[in-house]
Amino acid sequence: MLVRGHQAVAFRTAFTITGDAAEAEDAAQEAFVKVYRTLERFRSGAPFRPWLLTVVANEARNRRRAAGRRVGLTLRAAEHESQTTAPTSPETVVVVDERRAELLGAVEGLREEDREVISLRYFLELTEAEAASIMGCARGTVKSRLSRAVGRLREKMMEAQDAAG
Amino acid sequence: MQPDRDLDRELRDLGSRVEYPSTPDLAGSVRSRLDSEAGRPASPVRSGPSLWWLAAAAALVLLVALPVFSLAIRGTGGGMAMGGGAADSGGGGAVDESRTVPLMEEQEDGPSGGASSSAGALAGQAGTSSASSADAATGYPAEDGESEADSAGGATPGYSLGLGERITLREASARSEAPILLPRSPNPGKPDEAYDRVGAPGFILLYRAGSGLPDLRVPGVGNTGIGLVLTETSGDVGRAYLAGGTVRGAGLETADVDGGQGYWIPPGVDRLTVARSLGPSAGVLLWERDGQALRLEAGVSKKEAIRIAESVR
Repeated sequence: MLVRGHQAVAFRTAFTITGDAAEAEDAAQEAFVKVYRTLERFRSGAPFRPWLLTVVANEARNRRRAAGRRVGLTLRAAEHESQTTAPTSPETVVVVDERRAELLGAVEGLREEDREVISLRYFLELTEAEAASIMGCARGTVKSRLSRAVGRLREKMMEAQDAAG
Repeated sequence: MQPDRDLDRELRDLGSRVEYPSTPDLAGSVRSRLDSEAGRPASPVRSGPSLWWLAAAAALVLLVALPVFSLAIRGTGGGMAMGGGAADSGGGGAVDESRTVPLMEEQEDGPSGGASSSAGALAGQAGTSSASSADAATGYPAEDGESEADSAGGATPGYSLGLGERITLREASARSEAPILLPRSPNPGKPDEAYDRVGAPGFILLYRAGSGLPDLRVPGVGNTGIGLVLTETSGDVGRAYLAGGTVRGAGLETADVDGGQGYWIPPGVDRLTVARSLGPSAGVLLWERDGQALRLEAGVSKKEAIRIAESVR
């Protein structure tokens, strides 16, 4: 239950860092084993998930450095907003899909720490405290780092638009 | 700088559409691995959870649930009572049973094989933590923003030990009604890291090993790079650190700190699930000063721990 309850977020956190499913699986597995071995040091009252994710992130970083490769994130096959109220034209759908793909491509093109903080906060929807724990910094630093990362992402998107004419 | 609102919205939308590889069955693989490390044949298919996992789950439940129980420590001194606890045995050896805190079952150490494999990882983190500090003199992290060194990545020792949410010293000060108390010996100066005591009032100050503070070694992990952990919160020691705390098969010795009564939990003998975070290599000293309940944890002798405690002001 302990593993099952957290394995998805653990695996995705590891994947965010390694960009490789096999490495992410190894990292998450190793993290669970280490956490199990050191449960006695877990402080009562402290949240478990940040601790687990910190160990996961450390394992993932070790593997990222060793592997030196990453596979980019992809978008799920378009579901085309069947639940939205307003009908959407096929042209609009294509434009929106293209924009999303561009945005994801731009995120993937960011430097590592920018991509990481955006992924942790926007894609995995981790709390600031959890992201801070994973990144090894204060919560305020997560906020400022995220702000700067989004700023750089915006510049990248504008450059891409300018290049496209 | 405020994030671009449209971009913010787009990113949130994008997050719900990002495709991750399907999550593997980590529960099964972790269980198999623990089984094989314990010398039992791996059994991928089971009718129920293994005893190991039951033990792990039980330990976690205990750790999370313990604060809601009161240990009924009453009495003399700092709100704690140990019958006949006036005399200090002066050593970490035999402990008068009458001064022993009621105990609760706790599982033994997990497999010991992990020390070598994980020691390097933590030692590496300790190394990167130095690089991630912004204050060159103290190694303390920048109050606002970050330096490029800070963005080098890598968790600091305290994170790896689950001490809580990392905060700045300024934030720690803001969360305390009383001034922050710092030890003047053996390593005067600001702490290397500070943590919020998540789920409990007060904060934790962490000093790296060195200057007479041995590197604390944790079973299953190895060297932590940590030399001393000082916890501060308002109130008395009994309520702050021992209500709900458990010690199995060990005692709490009294300790004279600046003429006041403190308590010493010697290293190596005991397991404290609540009062100790760094495992059996460290001793723990509990005492009060200026209305604050303090808890010092380090791999030093009782005498040295008291000396450090008496330098705290």
